[in-house]
Amino acid sequence: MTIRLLHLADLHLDRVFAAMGCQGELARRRRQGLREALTNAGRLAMEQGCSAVTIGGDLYEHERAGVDTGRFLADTFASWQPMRVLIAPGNHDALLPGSLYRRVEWPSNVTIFASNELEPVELTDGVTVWGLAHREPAWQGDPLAGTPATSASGVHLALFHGAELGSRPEGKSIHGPFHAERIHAAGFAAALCGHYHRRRLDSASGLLYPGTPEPLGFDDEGGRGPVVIEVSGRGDVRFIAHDTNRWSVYTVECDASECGSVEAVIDEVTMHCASTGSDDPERTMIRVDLSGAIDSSVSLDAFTVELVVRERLNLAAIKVRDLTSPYIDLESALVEESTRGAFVRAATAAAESADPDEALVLEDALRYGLMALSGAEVGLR
Amino acid sequence: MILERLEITGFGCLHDVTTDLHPRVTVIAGRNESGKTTLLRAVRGALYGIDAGGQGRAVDRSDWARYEPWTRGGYGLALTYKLDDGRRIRVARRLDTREQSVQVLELGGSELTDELRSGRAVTPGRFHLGIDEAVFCATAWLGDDGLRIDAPESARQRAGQLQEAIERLADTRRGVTAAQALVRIREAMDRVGSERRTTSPLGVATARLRALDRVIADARTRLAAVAVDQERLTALDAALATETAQWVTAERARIAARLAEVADRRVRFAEIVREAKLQMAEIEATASYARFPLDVETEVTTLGGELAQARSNAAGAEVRWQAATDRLRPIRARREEIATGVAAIGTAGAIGTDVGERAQRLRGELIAAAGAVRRTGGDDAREAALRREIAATGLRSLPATVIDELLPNLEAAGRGGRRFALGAVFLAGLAVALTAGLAHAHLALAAVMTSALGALAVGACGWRAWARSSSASRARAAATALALEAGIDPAELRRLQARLPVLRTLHEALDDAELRTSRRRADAEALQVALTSLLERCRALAAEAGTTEPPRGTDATPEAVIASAQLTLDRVDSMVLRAKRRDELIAEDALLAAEESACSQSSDEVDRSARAVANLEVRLRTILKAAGIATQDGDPGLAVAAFRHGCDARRRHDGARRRVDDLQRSAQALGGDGALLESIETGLADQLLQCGGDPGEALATAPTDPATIQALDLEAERARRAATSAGDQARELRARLGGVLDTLPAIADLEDERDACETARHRGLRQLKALRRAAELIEAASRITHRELAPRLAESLGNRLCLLTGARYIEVNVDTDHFALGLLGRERPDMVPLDAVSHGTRDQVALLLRLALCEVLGGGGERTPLLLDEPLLTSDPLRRDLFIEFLHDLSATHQILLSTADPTMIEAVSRVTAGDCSVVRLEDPPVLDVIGDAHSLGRHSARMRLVAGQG
Repeated sequence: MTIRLLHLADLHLDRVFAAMGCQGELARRRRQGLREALTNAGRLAMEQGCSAVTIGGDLYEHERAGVDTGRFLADTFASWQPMRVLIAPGNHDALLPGSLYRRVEWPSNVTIFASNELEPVELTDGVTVWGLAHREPAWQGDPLAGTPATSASGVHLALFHGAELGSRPEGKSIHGPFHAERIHAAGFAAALCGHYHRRRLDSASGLLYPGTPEPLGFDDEGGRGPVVIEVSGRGDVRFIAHDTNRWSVYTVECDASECGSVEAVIDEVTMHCASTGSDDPERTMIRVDLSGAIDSSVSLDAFTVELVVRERLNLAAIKVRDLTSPYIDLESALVEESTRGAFVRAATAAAESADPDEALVLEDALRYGLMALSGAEVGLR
Repeated sequence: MILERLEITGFGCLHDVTTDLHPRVTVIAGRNESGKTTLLRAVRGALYGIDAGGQGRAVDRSDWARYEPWTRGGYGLALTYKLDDGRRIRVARRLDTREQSVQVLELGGSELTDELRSGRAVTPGRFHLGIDEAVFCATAWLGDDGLRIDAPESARQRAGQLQEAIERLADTRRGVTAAQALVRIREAMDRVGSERRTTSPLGVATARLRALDRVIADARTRLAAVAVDQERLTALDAALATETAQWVTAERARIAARLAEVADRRVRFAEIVREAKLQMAEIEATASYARFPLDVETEVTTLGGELAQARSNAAGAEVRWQAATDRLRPIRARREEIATGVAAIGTAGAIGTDVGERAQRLRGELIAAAGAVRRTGGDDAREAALRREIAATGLRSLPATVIDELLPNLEAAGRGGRRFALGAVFLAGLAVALTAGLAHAHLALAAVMTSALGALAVGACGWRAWARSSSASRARAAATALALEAGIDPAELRRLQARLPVLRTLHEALDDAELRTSRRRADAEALQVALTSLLERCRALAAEAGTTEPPRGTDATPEAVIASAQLTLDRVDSMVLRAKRRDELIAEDALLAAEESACSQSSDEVDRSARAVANLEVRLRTILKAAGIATQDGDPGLAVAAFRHGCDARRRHDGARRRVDDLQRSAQALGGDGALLESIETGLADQLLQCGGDPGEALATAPTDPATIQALDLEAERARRAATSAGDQARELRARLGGVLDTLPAIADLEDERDACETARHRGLRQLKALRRAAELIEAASRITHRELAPRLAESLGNRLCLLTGARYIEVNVDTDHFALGLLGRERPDMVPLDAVSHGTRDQVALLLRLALCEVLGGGGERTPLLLDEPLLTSDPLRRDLFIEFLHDLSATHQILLSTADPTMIEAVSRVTAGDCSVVRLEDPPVLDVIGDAHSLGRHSARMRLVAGQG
């Protein structure tokens, strides 16, 4: 008999989206979208006949999670009964004093792992899920350090929030480090994990990162959603990913070298954004990396571009990263015997010996200075 | 640099035009829109290329698009010019595409294209003139407003414009000065604002950020408080559940106990009812005994008992009287025998009761004394035997002390030196023998040593033998002296010497025997005294016992004393035995007398018993009669039994009544109403069912005692109060939380806004920093540039002005701030500001200033040709002529291309230059007029054609 489980992680309820350029109503819509993602995951689990839903941590963000979130979670999980819900708290929803896990009255089908060592929960006859909790946000323990008693017959699955060191994205923090090679060695058929926001299904090692159900940043492109785990009667484990995300993010690169005016830049950006082919613009967020050398007389204003393009395409959000540089014949400017030439030389020389932060300031100063020296209004970025 | 030939394949309105240019002054003549400016632009384009847009500049508004040929055909041009060193350069540009192809050839030499490349552009003008296109445009390229000779503005304005033009050229080579750029920067800074200016974007963001920080901190505090309350509420809910469960459990136990108790009461109530019925039947059955005199029952019973006892006593007294009559006879006979015996013993006198014991103690002492007497004899024989032994040794006269002195002297006299003397002789013999042997063996040294050693050994032995012989002689003399003192012959002493040790032992034994004999004699004397005392005490006792004293004998020996004492004690014992027998007989007689007296009292007892029986019978009869019970003469017991039966009936009656009363009270205590109890039981069973209990199980259990029920009641009440308290607390907290929860702010919303404000603030601060830095850099660059350029401009301008004005002005000062010009002339001692000089001078200064700028900014480049596009359009003829003259003078160093639509201008130039110029008429067909020295043109041609319709 085949047993099915649905695994999700890193939902990050109550997340702030200011970094994506969202605030106010849009940010609230994004947060509501996260709740809908959880509801949809439950619906999918019931449609798929899953025995349980496993959550690999970061279900919510402790610093901002309020009473309403706790109520929503309890009500949602209660509506999934008799399907069980197994939760392994992560670094963002660590099992701290005052956390929702401690103060909400959870329905009887919810099991929250409370120890930072793997503990077994027999799900059905022959399938055991071992889970652990982060009891502090900066927990650095190895989830697979202590070898649990998985020698008994049946299929054993590990559920935890951890950082697989072999596939860690650059800059991603390390919480609960482990190596994928140890999953089978520790006696587990699979490790149902959370922490990395990009989906990773590795049947060979048994490692599963479902990724965030909805994109949380502009780097979270592509389809996302929960993963169904099928455990066959023979103990084989299969991962089936489902793309259920309602929100989409894109990053487009736009070369504005040919644009001689702000309007031309707007047109160019509009064209690039439209080319993403998003079905639901109201749930689409696009980051535009605007590049190229633009004449100093063009007073480029990223906010104006964002505003116009968003209205033109009815997008949920657009964030323009002004990576353009002022068009300047540097070679000529460096030998030019004028205030402008002296300015370019001074700015360039200062930037060469400056620290990275100061170099950025000098880059902007060069841009602004050249705009001003060209007689144009200084466009700020 | 001298421009020689311009060939235009197609450029704007010009098509297939080739013209040679005069080395000094070339006039480009033609009507408006004939292509004069285009031709000049073509010259510039050949030197610097045509901007085709891109890199942030619109292509469609670029010069490349603007000067696209109006007709089909090629888009290109070529310019040939000569450098000061004589090299001739030809620049050919194909402009059909934006990526223009350029070829620069040194005529008669190599290709210079790559050498003259700056980035992607090939700009021969920059390399050969030393100035970039912007400077070229600003200095060598003068439009009709370039000089503005006859402009209506005031002189001050003109001077200011000139200064500003210089400043723009020095600062940006565009139409902006550094000061204007700084104004732009400050405008941008104003747009950003500051943190303190609350109306600016940065100020708004900062203020809002601070406000949001406070709001978020407050929200977090409230959220934390709510979290604490929620945790507390969860704990309270759990406590409430626990307390409620305990309450239900306690209530169930209480109700079950109550139910069991009520059921038990109901059963007991039924039993009471049943028993009450039985008791009522008993009351009815004993109703006739309701007034039976129960109070005299004790008296009747007592009387009955006493009567029975009295009758028994009377019968006993009769029997005892009969028995006493038989007993009196032997008693009296025995008493007579006793009297006879006492009389026979007689009156021996009273003897103390302790006489017998004292006699026994004295007898014991007597036996001990007899034993002591026996141990004092027998040691005198040993003493005599020892004396005899000493006499038998023959040395009886020798006292023991002398013997002790003699013995060591005799032993010393016996130890002589003979053995040492013999040893010395033996050693001497041995030494002689060894010495002889060694000497014979020729061992002289050994022989000598042997003899020496032998002599030493012999000497030592001899000395030892002499010492011992002397000592023996002295001892022998001492022994002889002692023997003589004791009266013994020394010779006899030596003979009896061996007996001396035995004699000494005998003396010691004799001394010991004599000592013991003296002690025994002292003991015998003491024993004699004690025996005498004992005898006296025996005699005193005998006197006390009243015996006759035995005859006194000789009591000289202890044995006699002992015998006398024994005799006395025997008499005392005999007296004691007689006294004892008489006492026994007297005691027996007393007993018999008492028995005889008792027998004689039985007769009186019979009479008293009979009277007591009669008295009791009368009293009993009287009482029974009062109780209505007939008495029988024969057996008062039956009457008493009948009375007691009545009493029992009365007691049963009374008991039944009391029991009925008790039962009634019990029934009242149990509720007094069976139906009520049943109703209560039913109600409790329902309550128990509601609490999840089983009434059947509760009814099956044994009823609980009241104390337990009370304890259960208390427990249930406590549990109820605890549950109520927990419920109240939870309800109160929930209500309070309910009020708070709705007002809790969404922290995520606030943080979103805060992050946005933070980003805006950070962006504003970054912008401000960059703008400030830009302003600083521009100011510094401006100062440096102005300081460098101003003196060089002044020098260049001054030289030319001096030359061209015939030294009327000898020096020029250029201010470093804004390039304000001052002229020093011969006629005035001070600097004359530019706005104070004449128009003509000002125009000349303006033109020369441009050339000076070309020179200064161009470094060591070629002299720049001047391209003047209708510069004297509105000037009057006098000033025009003056300026043409100035230009002609200037053309000696700088080639001049002058465009004009005015035919009189051509004439004026021809006149003023005296024909040292050429004129290119842009007509159809174009005509090249060479005025003056045609050879100065070199080879030239005029193959020009106007595009149709552009004439």
